[in-house]
Amino acid sequence: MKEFFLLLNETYYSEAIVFIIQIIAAIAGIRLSKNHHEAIPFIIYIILDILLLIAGWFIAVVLHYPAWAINYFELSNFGISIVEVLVYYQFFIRLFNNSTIQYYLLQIRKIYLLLVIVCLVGWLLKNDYLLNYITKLTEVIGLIFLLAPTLFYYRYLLNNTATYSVFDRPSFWIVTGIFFYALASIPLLLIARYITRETEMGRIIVTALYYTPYIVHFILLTKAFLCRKPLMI
Amino acid sequence: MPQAPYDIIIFIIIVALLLLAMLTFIIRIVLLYQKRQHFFQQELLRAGVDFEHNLMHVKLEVQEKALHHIACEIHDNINLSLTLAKLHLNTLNIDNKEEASTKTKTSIELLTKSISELNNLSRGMNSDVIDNYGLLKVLEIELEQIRQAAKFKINYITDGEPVFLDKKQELLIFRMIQEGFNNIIKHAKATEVEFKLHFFSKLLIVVLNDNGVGFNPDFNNTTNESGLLNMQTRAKMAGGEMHLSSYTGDGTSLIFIIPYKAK
Repeated sequence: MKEFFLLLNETYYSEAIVFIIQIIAAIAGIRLSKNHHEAIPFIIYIILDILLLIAGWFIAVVLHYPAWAINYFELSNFGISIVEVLVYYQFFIRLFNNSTIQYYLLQIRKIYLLLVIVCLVGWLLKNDYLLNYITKLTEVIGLIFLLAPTLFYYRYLLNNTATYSVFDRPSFWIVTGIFFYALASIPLLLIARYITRETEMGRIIVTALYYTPYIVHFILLTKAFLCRKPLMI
Repeated sequence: MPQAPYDIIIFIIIVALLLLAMLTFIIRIVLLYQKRQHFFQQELLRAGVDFEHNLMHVKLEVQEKALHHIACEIHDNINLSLTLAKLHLNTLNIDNKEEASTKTKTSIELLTKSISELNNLSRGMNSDVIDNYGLLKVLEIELEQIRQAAKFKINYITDGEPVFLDKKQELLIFRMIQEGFNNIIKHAKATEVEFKLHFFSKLLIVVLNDNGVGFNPDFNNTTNESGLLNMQTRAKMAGGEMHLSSYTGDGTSLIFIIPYKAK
């Protein structure tokens, strides 16, 4: 138990906060999904993330970081980022009621999946350096690909004639969450390699930049679920 | 805490600026959205006021037409009957019992006819007649009046399950049909008119066909155009649409498709 708390302390308890927020988001999502099935992909994504987090704790505390752990963390981060991009793209494709935008989104998703396949081939070639490099690159590209439709969304929002308050729109909270998360995480993923994790300052930056947008993203997702309206509004 | 390297401080500043820009962007989007929402709401309000204004105009038109009809009826029939009755009574010679009896009888008949016509008029004059009796009853009264005045034969058919519609919608439909018949009377020179009301589930289709001279809808005629435009506007106000087809020398067909919520 002491080891577990030491582990949580390493991230200034950010992982514990992420865990709690994700549990709340999952509960809110499950309650919403009874009437609005479009919430199901988000719930799958959240639950998968929770399971990976618990597995990570298990590997750290019980298995004491075996040799394969680095590859596991790399691949689990990579895997969840793929799920994340696919879930959000599915959401965006359903959200935009415009065949041109939908066509472009489908094409972007195809390109992204092609990149994922390249990455998996690299992993099969057992080239760890390539794996690390491509997984980071694919994560960044995934986030950039997520950023593009969020900007489309804001344009779409401003041209929308519905008389909902913006704060009553679940889509606004979802998109703002992913916008904040993607935009704040891209710099970290790009320069994480150059930030010295050995210094206290380096650790604070990595933790703050990695977990804060992630936590905000899940809080906003929870807020979207709590609007109790179809997510496409 | 160890001293932060220079490049980390730069990085923190850049990230902070990025976050600030992001926050400003979101706030700007929200403010812009609210501004546009306010604008859209104002537009909706204006459209609502316009709708009410048009509806009032339609009501006034219906009333004006009814008053015109009443004036004509009083002048042409009732006035004539009463004048004749008065004439008969004025020239009544009680010494000639046979003549006096005939004149009295004729006067009574004329007065009875006048009373009956006044009763018919009062039924048609009531502006709430649509509210009280519904579209079908008002149409029957209207058709009866047209039959008396017009030189064409009217084949009136209804099918489906007739229902009471929204009062505003019924008034608009009535006015469109009235306008359609008005055009036939004024311009069509028709000998036969087919008037059908099809009540489908949640959809009313009104068909008005005539075998008159027809016209070229592409040819601009201000009188025709304004009448057609009025009907089109009313069809839209009633939540439906109007279709017109006409050829010179080949009659005119007017169709209104009105979705409705049964009351």
